[in-house]
Amino acid sequence: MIRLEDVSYWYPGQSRPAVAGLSFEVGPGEVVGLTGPNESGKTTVCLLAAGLAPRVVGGRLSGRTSIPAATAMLFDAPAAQLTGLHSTVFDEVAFGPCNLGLPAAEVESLTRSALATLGIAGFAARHPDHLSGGERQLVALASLLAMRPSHLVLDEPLGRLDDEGSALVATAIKALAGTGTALLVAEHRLEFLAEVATRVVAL
Amino acid sequence: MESDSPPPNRRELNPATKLVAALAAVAVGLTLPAWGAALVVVGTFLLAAAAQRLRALAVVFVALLPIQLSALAINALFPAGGSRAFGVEAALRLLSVALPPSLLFLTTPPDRLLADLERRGLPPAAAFVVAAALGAVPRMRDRAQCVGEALRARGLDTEGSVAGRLRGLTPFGAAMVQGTLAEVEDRTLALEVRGFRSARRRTILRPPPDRALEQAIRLLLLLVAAVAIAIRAWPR
Repeated sequence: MIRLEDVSYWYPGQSRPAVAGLSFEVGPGEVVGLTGPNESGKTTVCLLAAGLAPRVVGGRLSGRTSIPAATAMLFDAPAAQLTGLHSTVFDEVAFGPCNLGLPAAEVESLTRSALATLGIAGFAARHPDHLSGGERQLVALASLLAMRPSHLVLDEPLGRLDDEGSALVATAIKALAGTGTALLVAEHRLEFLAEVATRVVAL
Repeated sequence: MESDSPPPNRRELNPATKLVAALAAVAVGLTLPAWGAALVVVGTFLLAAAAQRLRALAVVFVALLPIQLSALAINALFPAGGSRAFGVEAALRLLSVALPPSLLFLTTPPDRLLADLERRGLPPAAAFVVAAALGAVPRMRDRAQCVGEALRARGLDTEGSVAGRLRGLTPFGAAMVQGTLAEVEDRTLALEVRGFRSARRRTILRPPPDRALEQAIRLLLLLVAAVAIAIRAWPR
């Protein structure tokens, strides 16, 4: 379970907290929506919930957090999510499971499954650099799904997607929640949150 | 089980062989007399032709022309040690240092090099640095194109007079540096969530083939590089 209790967080070199006195939790099988105006701190909360702030980002935190190790995060800029090292979408998506040291056959199976879940199995042999923004967003999400995270944080997952892509993401989110995955979804499209979220935290 | 990943290319040279060849070529080009550098330049162009990358290597050559011409011009006006041949030698050495690594960049997918270096026991972080360097050139090219388009959309003259282009260099350079720094942070986070720092041994899908002949070639290349360095270091 992801749990934040009375958390305040300051980015490196900042005297004002980006987030102050925040508390919420995301349990197994739950989809918690996170919404708020621009600059309200949605991305910061995502970084905190994924355990990346302050561990990787730096800065200072007060309060208590409980972040499971198997927590993955989709960033709002899909191009940044990809490694830029791989010459096929298949290898890009397989990068995460490979890092977990899974057997090659299982890596291939997880990769195929993640691509199929998001309807992009046909992208497998394409070069990641030759994809559109929306296609990259789906590949970035597939790269996380292939790792089978128990907790998943999605920051603006619909940012560059059309209606069809958004529907695929909604289906994937519901399917993941059905398997017990805990999801935190930061999104400004309230109709999307109304469809997938079990409850919503407003900043 | 059927695989979606591309089949191995049986004619593909092992990435380590290409890396050793590039390093050996640089060593020879820097240490032997000018004929060594000339040999490296000619050899690199022949290999590029064989790999069907001649046009791309020619672009690198043309990009280096201003530096080569300035070396020749300076030496023609102020001959080092009284010899105008020094300018030719300097230009050849520059090419022998720049062209072999460029051919490596042009012919080696970064992930194949990453997989091969890791299989040989190089720590993933170190292998990533080497592989990321290979991928840096096309990424910088794409970023430069995006930055140029963004600046032009805001009215900056990047294709007009020389003076106009020079004025555009400062915002262009600043945007490139800022973008690159931001990308470093983004990539760090991306690698973190993709489990790159996992303590487990990474699985390598389809390790690049490595033939006995290539192992012998690598040893020979290392020997050639060592001899070239020894000749240079030997007191005369």
